Amino acid sequence: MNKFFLIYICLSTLILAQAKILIYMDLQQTDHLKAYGIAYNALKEGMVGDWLLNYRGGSFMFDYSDKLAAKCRLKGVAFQTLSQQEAVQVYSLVQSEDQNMEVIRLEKAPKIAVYVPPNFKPWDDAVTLALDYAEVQYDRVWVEEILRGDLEKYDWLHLHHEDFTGQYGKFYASFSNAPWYIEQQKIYENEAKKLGFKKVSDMEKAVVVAIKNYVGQGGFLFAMCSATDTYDIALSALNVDIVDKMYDGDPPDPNAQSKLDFSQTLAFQDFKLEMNPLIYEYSDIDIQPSEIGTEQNDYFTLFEFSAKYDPVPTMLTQNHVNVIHGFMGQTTMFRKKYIKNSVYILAERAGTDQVKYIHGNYGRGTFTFYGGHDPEDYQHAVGDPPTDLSLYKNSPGYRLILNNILFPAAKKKEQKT
Amino acid sequence: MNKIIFWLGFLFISLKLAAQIDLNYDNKFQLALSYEDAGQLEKAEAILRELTNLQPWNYSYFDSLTRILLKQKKYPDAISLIESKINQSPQDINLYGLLGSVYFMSDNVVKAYEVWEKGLNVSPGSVVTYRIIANYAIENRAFEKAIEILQRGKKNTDEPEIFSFDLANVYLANMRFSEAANEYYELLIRKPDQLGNIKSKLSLYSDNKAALIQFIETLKNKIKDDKTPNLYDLLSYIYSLNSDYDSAFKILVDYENKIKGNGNTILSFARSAQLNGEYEVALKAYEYLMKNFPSSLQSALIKFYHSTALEEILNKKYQSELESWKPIQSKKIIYQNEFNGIIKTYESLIKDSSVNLNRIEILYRIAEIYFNRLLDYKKADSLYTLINLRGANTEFSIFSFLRRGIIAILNDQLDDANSLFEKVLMNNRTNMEQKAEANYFIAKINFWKSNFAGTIKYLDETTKNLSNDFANDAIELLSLINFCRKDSINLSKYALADLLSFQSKFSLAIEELKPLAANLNLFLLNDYANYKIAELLLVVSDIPTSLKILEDIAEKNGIFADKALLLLGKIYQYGVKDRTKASQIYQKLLEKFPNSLYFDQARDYLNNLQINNG
Repeated sequence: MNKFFLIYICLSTLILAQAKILIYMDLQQTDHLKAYGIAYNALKEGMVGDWLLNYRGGSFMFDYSDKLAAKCRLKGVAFQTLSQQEAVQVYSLVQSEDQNMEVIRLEKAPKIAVYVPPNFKPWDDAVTLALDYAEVQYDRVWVEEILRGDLEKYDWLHLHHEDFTGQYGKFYASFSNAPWYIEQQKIYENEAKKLGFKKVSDMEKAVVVAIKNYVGQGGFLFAMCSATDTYDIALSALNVDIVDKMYDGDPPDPNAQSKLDFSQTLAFQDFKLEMNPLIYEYSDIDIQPSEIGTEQNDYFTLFEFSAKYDPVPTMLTQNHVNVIHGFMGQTTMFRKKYIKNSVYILAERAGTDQVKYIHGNYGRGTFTFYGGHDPEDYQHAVGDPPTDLSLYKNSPGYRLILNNILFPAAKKKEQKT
Repeated sequence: MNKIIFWLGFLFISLKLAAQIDLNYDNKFQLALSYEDAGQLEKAEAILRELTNLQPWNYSYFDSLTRILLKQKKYPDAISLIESKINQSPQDINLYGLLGSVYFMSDNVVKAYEVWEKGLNVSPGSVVTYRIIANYAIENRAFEKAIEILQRGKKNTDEPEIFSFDLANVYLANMRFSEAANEYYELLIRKPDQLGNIKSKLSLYSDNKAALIQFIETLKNKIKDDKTPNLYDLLSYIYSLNSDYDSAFKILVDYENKIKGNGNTILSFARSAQLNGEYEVALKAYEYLMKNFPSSLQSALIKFYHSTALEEILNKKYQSELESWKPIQSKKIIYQNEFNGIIKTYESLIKDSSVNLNRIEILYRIAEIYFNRLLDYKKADSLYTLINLRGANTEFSIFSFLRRGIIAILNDQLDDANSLFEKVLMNNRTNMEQKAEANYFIAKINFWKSNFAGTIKYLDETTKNLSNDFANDAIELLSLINFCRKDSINLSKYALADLLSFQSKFSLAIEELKPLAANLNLFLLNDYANYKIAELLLVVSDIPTSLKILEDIAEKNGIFADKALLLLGKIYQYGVKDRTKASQIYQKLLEKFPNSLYFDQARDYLNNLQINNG
């Protein structure tokens, strides 16, 4: 297979007599985040590219065109033009058996949907910030679109600071009188009423089931912050009321914990719910600030996978550094003992049971969960201004988000294991 | 006697027994609560049932038992418990509210409304009745019912204003902003002293445009028929929240006329507008005050603020007239009459002994106008000196020393300038930025006097804190000296040209630089000289020669090639107005110098050109 690929590359480069553009992604890159946008939009315009896993930080290679070169310059993305011979050398290095590298063909820009409530505020979502900055186009969907089956139009769905348990982020104790909280609750209640649900929590249950079906049928799900654990909590509580009176108008089932069904969840199991409605936490999946210690010591490490044998986790962990500064969120990290055995751990805090980044399969699709709210704002608070990504062009934390949008563009290969 | 002893003994034993029983009950109650905390609700329920049977009048037992039944979702049990309590206390409105809530939770909305209705009938003339039942409805998010109850309360009681406030809150929670505004209107009419509360409530919606627009529209309609002054004040406030200062001002003027006020509200509005950068409307407001309240106690202050607003507007106009794309600006005098007018006002304020204003600040403002706008350095210098004498302990004193230092340089008095900057360094009140400026200018003076070792010493001081405004220039000068120090004769010539350029003697500076620019053996200094000439030629408007020099620099690929390309792009964009050529040049910079310091700037210019091309 490798030899065939090498011959194919050699022949095609010779026949087409065309040089290549190498968008290198190591420390030399001037704007890593925009580089993803360049790659994504090149695919969208019909170009075909290669993702050179583990080569110079996970570089991109495209056929040379003046237009693409000009675009890179305009967006401040560093690149190198390669002659045919140089390109062949790069490909042969990446393909060689003694290198933990791999060429992944990128064929088609995935269609992206982001789950965005109508009262969305810029501080709500690091992914929309990243997509906007990288100039990657996406559609916004919410409950109605999901429940009427619109997800089938998309390859990739992103969820962020969503609370799928129907407890409005458990902000009741601190923000129940804030206009934004009042407005949020009303918007959700109106939507539930419009769609025929008695309670918001019931509506959210229908949403998580619809999303799970979407993944099962081959969709790619990427979730961050509280969307990760609340998604699984909601799945585990499909048949039980875990929501207190101030959120849904009636008390929760007193035996809610024992009625959770962990066989329904994607990533987590055996966790314990936080049933106090005034405590800003959903369960013991999330790692608490006191367990993390100081900001100065908060770093997580990316695992290294075999690029040739495990290309998917390799794609998701492409980066120019492998130790990354941590960041908090309503859900900051996941407790390892609650992660199902079938799930890949992509990044964790070395020497602890604190896991930052995980990936797994369900049906024909995949899911990736990334803890924390904003990779470049350590303790992002409600009402804080959105992060200006032009100040963090080389953010390794944001890169992990953007790996996810290109991963569905990869041509599916036969698994080697 | 025996009888008495017997009865006393009997009483004592009875009391002791009663206390014993109470203690037992209390222990049991605590046990039930502990079971509740431990999540053993059935055990807690059993104990509480027993206690409630024993003491049906005890509200704590009743309350806890109800809570535990609801936690277990045992709605029928809770209903019968509350109903039996209602039978005991049929006048307790809370119990009707609670019973209705339980029906609501158990999905029996009709019955809930029926029970709440019974509660309302217990005391239909009381404010409390309606508010209690409405609160239960709100708790259950039965907003429509709550609104209906509160409306009835407003109609049937003699304190409708309380209900207006409650109704407004419910409407706000439901994003029915027009209706909320209607309620605030009614509240304001009945209770004018609530204006502050209403304003503070509405201020929470300052970032909600949709809400603000609905508030504005509703109040505008009200004002058509109702000329109550407070309405004008409120509407003006909402316009300000919506950043529509013009409309806010117009409405506020109406308000002042109606209340025959002393202008204080307009003054505070004007200050707020000015602080938010809305100089034009602030100016209008000050002019209104000056015209309508000429003998106000605050008239001096108003005059002062008026002049500051006018000065800010003129400064904006002045800046827009400059060709800011040129690296070196030629100073020019424009809006002379207007600036002189402002100076006159400031001077009159200083002379007026009855006025309580910060005269040093006013003096400094006048000096700044002479220095920056009218280019009358002599006058400016005398004023700065006066500030150093009279306001030695003010923040303006250090600024004045710095300005006097620059004026001394312009007058070719480098030693005087040096000692003025030294004074800044020696002053305890000098901040980091001011220190950096003083160090930088002392370094420059040393440079101009060909004392390169001294220059380096002060430049090093300047670059200790890289966040100051002079650090970049200091680094650039350091690199020039480090490269060219061995050729001190030619470096001195370059330094002289630099001084002449600083003193706006541009033609002389060009003449000084020409031999350096022509001498190819000077390597780096030759590049510096050529680039500097190109910059100076732009000031004297010799664009063609400047273009030619810059093109040569860019072609040679020397250390200024990228900088020259950026300047070329700007000349084509703004000077020659050839956007296509400008665009090509920026692209060339991006292509040839991907690691250039000027890369981002070139990209921004290019992006701008493309956006403007549509």
